[in-house]
Amino acid sequence: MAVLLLVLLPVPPKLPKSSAAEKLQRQINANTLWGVFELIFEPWKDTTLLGVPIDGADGKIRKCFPILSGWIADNMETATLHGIKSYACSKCEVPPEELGTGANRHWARDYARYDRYERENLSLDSESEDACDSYETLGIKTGQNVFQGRERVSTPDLHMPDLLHTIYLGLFKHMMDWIQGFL
Amino acid sequence: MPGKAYREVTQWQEKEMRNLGRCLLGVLAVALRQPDNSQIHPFKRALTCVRLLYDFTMMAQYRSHTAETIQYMEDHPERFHEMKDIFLEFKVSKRMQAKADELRRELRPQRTLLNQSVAKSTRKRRRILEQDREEENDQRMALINAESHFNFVKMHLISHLGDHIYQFGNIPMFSTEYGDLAHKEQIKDGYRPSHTNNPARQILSSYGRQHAFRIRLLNLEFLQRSRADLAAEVVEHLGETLTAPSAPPVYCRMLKGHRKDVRGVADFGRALKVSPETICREFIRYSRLSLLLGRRILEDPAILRSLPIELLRQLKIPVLAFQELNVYDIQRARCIGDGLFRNQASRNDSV
Repeated sequence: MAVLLLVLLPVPPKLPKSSAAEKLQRQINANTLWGVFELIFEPWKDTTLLGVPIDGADGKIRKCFPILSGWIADNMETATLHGIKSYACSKCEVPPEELGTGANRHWARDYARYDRYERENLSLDSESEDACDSYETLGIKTGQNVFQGRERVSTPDLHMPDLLHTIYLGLFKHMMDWIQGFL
Repeated sequence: MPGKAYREVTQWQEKEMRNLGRCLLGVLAVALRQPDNSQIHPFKRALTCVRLLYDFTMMAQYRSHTAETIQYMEDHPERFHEMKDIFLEFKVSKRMQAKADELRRELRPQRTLLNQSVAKSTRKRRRILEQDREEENDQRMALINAESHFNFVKMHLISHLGDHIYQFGNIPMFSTEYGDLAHKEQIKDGYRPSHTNNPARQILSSYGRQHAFRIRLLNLEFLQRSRADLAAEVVEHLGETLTAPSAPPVYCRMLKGHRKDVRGVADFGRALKVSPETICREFIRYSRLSLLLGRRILEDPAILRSLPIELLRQLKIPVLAFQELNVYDIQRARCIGDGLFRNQASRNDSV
């Protein structure tokens, strides 16, 4: 695999620590992220809608449409980009208390549905407690998914397994702790 | 073979962790080899758990899969979930620990008050104390059993790996390792020689330049190999920078570690602390058992002793790497005699 360095992205300025500043800081960070992704996906809009002509091996020219199929990132990065809580799975709607039970037959995430919920709640003009609860169990922060609304991107499929962090530095580390305790 | 105890290392890298995994199961099996009657069951469960998880990680590294291996990858975590209770009591988060400590701190003053009023003799007081301690332990265990869990996101993410293979192919392809390494190579190494004042542009141009040079060199190398017309100074320069076109390495067993001070049977015996008679006897036995008729050595100790002898202490054995056709891992078989392994004292740490 080749990794090319194209740009260095801006780091938002850091504010002094206080509870009020923290909220502002979070807002600034989210806005920066949003702006950066607008920038990255700027050329994406036209190509996905109109297609690009690409030479084929048989001498014909075909109209091709790029599809974003994966985004390699670790768990925290994925959580930030997808606008979910760090304990939530980015692929399916598994509730936090079933993470360690081996259950893997949950529905895949559907961000369009979440957006619909959000709009319905807004039209009611008050965030009911039920909605808050369901957001909590689903582990989503609405309106913060940077991939939402882009053409030819299926957000739940973007997550790529990450052997380094999930297995070697994640599970293995936990396992070593258990073994140390056990011995 | 790690050079340090597990706890001495604070930050682990992927490769180190992988190597650790290689010896982990063996070491654990040795550590748990002599269980008491009460320990047989938990030891077995712990070993199985570790084995299941480790097998799973090994299979996650495969470069190609069959339906069978993917089935294994789905079954192993399932079986692990059946057995994992054995580790539940060690899966205690810091918050839980604090909670348990707090509970104990709350109860202790009450108990002391109570005990002072009840118990008069020291023996009685001691017995009550012991009872209290047992009670405390029970409470702690109950709390842990009720509150501890394996619900962390990494435990869940592995359940998606099977589907991922069906969808996208093998897993090592998508590792974040490359990106994380590129951070060091492309950004940190670019930042260091910059004058740190608004360094973004410098980092980018420094990496861009290096990259362009590397591509240019590769192109020139290719042209030279395909016998294109290149200017004399270019050829000369290439001759300096080119990493000599290495012949494909030969993969055969290689002997290494030649001892210069060993010339004959007497030296040989001294180096290995074996008497020359035994060596001669073994030589003759070996020649009778394993060598062809015409190639057998003369079975006369006097002649044998005068023969020149070399002592080599290491054998490099190339082993074909898993699922590869031309990548070899070199395994080294070493004879260290009665010396210490890597001249280090033997270790006695459990982990």
